[in-house]
Amino acid sequence: MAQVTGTLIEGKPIVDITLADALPAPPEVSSVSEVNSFSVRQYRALLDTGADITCICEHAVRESGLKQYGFERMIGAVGPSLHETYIVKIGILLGDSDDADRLINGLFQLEPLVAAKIKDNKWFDLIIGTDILRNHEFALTRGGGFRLELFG
Amino acid sequence: MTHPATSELHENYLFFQRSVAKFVNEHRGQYALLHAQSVIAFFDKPIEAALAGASQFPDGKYSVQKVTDRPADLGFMAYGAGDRNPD
Repeated sequence: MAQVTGTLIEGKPIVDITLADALPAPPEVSSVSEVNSFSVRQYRALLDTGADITCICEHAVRESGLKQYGFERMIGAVGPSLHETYIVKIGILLGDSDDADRLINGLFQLEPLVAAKIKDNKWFDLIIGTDILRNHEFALTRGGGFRLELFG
Repeated sequence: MTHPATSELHENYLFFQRSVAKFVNEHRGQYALLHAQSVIAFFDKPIEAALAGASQFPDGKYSVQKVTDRPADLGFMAYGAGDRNPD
């Protein structure tokens, strides 16, 4: 079974993920043959059952060179706000997220999805919302841990 | 100076917000491919809309919007600030 387990960090369930634009940028027209670049980076993502959609912090958008596709209206404590949206591929690293030396147990690749840009914070780089979580099983476990079971 | 593709995104969004009430009954939850302030087609998955846009508009002047009349909840970040609404 595809699964991620871990310990809450400052009360937050956080997993390691990979992030890339769903569509690689077209190559520049040039007389020199060149490989089309396709950036995949690793980040930390909060599992947030209170968020309707997946969100990406500004620095991760910038570093990953994501192409904007539109906007999303979002509601927060200070009222509505407008956020840039991207279409991205996210992979979730499987295994025990507490084990810093763990061998990669595999990567669960999610279908390309729309994610909204949010401001940076000190805890994580992305939020995985209920747009993803509703297709899987997420639970807090006794002793301050969490478990995410992923279904293909 | 605003990049032409950025301007296209903004103009398409404003058009979409004005028109979304017409689309929600038949296309709620789908993804609209937009170009020049009009809807080109609706798709079930965002990547399908993006691929169609990249194929039809290689200059990148298109956008993809989810058909919904409800703002998304920010969850954990609800107490942080987002980009303010430009319209």
